[in-house]
Amino acid sequence: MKKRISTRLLGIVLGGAWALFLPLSGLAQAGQEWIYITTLPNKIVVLDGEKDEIVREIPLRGTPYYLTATRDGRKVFVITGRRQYIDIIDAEQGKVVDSITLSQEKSKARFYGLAASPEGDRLYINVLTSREELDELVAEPPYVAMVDLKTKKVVGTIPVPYGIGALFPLSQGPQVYAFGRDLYTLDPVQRKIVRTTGLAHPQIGGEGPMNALPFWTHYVKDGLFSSPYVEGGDPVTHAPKIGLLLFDTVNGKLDKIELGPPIPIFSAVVSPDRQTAYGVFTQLTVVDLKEKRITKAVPLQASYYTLDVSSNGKKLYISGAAPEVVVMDAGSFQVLKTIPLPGNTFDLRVIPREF
Amino acid sequence: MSRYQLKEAHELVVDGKRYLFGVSTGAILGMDAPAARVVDFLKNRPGVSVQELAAHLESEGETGGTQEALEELVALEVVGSGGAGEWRGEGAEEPKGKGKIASLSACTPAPSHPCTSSSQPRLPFPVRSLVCHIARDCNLRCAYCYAEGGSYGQERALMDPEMTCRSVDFLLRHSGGNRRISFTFFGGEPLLNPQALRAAVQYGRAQEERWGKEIDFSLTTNATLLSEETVRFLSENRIGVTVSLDGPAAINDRMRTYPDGRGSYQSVLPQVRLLLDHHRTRPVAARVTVTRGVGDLGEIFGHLRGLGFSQVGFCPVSTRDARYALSLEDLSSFLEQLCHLAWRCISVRVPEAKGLQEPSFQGLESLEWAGKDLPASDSHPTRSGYNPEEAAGRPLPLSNLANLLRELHRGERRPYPCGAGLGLLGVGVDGEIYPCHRFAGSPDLSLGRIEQGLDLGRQTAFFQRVHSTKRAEKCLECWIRYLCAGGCYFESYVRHGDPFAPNLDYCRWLAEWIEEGLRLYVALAENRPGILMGLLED
Amino acid sequence: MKHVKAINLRAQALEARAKGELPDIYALQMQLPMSCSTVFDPGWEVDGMFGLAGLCQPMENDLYGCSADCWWPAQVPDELVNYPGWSDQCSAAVRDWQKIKFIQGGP
Repeated sequence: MKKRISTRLLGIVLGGAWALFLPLSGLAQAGQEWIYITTLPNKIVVLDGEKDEIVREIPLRGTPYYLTATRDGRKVFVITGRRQYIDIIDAEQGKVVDSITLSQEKSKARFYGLAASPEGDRLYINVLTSREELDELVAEPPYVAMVDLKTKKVVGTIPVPYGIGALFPLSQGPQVYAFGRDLYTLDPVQRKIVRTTGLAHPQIGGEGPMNALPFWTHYVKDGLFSSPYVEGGDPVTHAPKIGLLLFDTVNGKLDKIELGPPIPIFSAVVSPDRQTAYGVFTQLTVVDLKEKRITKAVPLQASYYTLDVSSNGKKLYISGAAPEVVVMDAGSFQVLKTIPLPGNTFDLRVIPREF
Repeated sequence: MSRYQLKEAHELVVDGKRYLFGVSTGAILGMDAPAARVVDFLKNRPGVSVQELAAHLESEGETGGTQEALEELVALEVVGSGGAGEWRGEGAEEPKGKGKIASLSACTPAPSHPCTSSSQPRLPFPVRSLVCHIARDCNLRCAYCYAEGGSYGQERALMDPEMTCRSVDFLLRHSGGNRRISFTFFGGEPLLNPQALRAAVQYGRAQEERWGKEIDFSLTTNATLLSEETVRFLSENRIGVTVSLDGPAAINDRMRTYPDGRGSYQSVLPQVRLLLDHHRTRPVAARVTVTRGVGDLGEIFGHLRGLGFSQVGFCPVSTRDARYALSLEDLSSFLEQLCHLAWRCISVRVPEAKGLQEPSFQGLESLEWAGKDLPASDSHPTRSGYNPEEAAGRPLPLSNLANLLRELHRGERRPYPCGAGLGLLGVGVDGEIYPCHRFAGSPDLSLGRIEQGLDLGRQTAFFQRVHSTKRAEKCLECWIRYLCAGGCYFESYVRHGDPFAPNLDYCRWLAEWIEEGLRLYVALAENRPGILMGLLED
Repeated sequence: MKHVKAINLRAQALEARAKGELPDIYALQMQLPMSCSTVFDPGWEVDGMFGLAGLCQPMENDLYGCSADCWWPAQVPDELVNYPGWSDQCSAAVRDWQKIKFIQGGP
């Protein structure tokens, strides 16, 4: 009994010390982050990462899809308005301060994938445009638009193939990755794809091809991008296999972790220490990245499609589809909390609060 | 109401018992009396209801086990059914839990052939075997040679050793997930180019670890140029060797001659002995080309086994030239002798198998080759110390039979007659890639070059032609179509000038050979499964 | 099996499948799925392996995964282009599914 009290006291003291120290250091620790969840019909719900309580509901112009933020978490960008708008949120004020659209009356530009530059001065958006002609709709070739956030002007475009659903920046340097049927490296200076890493079109004969789902949430944690994939498998037996794609945005290395026969995993996130990956659907699948195998499968009460991990690696936030968010202890895998939300959800992201 | 229909199956009787070979499944099944009754009633009756079946069997006074047998036949895809069935026979009750499989079977269109389906192979396809012409030249001038004296109708040439190494590299790069890959030195006579052979083996062995793969090198040779040093090299590098040799001098020398007309047997013999005595790391096989008149297979087989070849394979000559090609009578004699040889090989291992199912042919006397000139070998039943259990572990000496039994065991179903153009590719001396080695020198069938890699467009076009040709139509009524898949492209090319033409010349031959293999397989599987497993080992 | 004996490996595999010892996988045999409505979309009737275990639990949670991005236009109205208000009274499908709107006629 005595021991427990003293531990708790110590926690309070240390917690206080951190609270004093952190805003100066600019380093995010647990508690110094918010969890953004896009929900129907037209909201972003924000949880406080320390108390796991709803602290904000930010109204938007329409159904929100995917969101991203600047590295410091000051600005949050969300695709909404029938995919034709990006609402820009000032995290401090907790409201939409600006928005971007590329649609015109006879030309609808819809957004599939967006990324902010690490510096927060530029937004990359994958754009699919349908133009209304007299008697037909014309699909224009897809491109990635580079938008200067100060002027909100498109400062350049990069032509890309169909099928891209996610963009994410290189850890350092100006390049951006686009995730579609393959993984493309875009160079904003040369304004072209400078490298294609084959997934559906593997470059090594007999390797793959793989199928992944770019149109769902993907995470880059500590520079490590993760996505589940399915592979047709053995050319003779055709037995399919599921696994995790890990793409290191620091050194450009693509790693495949084969997990065996298909189990549904809709999105996957890597722990900040890069030791563990978590995949989610009706079960939480825990993968040891060193041993490259599934170490645990935790049944969930319902199906969830999205999860993220707190930046100290200790908590998992699970949502996507179901109108609720499950907070789980990443050590014991006990549900700490299930928080009801106003509507079905799409994206969920743990975003640091460095301001 | 649910209707039952017999799917395509080939029937056979072994040792008085009835068996079915599922044409599209490749499954070999034994039937008891109730199952056989169901099958018999369903024959030639499209869409029989359970009531009709029950009524018929009742009228025959035979009802025991019928329902159960029907369910088993449905589950094993011998009988197809439309939808969830009702059972109103005696002791009426619903069939248990087979609805899903039954309805899936009903969805399968029949008759089907893999070549007529629209599904193209998924390209790029991982390469497993590369057959490389390191010499477009030969020191022999075998009369029947499809490569026209090793030159393939082109200027005589040797492959640059660097190109051979590049070919090894090509194989490594394009082999995908295949851990064991094979590289065959071919010609012409590959030993005319020992530099390329050595360079490629050296290069390949050095690369294996880096790629985490194992290269199985092999060589097909006429043995004339084998030296002590070469044999040592082959043995040290675990290079599998197949010697083209047609039998004793009298037979061999009719076809296999030097340019001056001299027979090759006498000059080959010391080299063959050298090889067989000193190549310790891999079994050495002989490949016999069967030509017009066929000859005595038993004598040839016995002779070659007597020399010490661990396996002997027989292959009909590829030619249209009436002087060498097999006539209809020849084909029949070839088949008959091969079947005898097959039974002989089995009955040597399993003495009681002989009594199980005597071959339907006459003329066993011609197979009494085993007696005099054979060295210690399990192929001699009278030799003392014969131990069937020990013999079981050794491969069958007749490679035609060993391959067939293995295919039947696995129940292989082939979308294509062979791996040509997919897992198997041939390379010409100049680095041109072909669907297989036999097509070298047919530029219209080139699939790319070693330096640039496979031309996926050409590869796709090749298989589009495979799929669109009429060869498959001819196959639709044939029960071996999933084993033969239309036959060798090159045979069709030689005989009809079109690799995609129907290859009907060997249809009956092949069907009967496979039938004989089935009977042998069943006899072994039913009586000596342990021995069978031993025979199937590589 | 009592009346039919599986002799070779293929027959034994069929038998094992009939007994439920082998997964009955057809969907992925010949080629790789290249759209989300196969392995990456659980479906509402049967899953990619003709079972129920891979379905979204409960199915209401997956409803807008199809309508909002018109991935599955045959089954649900597409809210992206033609029927934007289909679910606007029903943000949480599992709680409010009765409030979902009906669509009459074509777009």
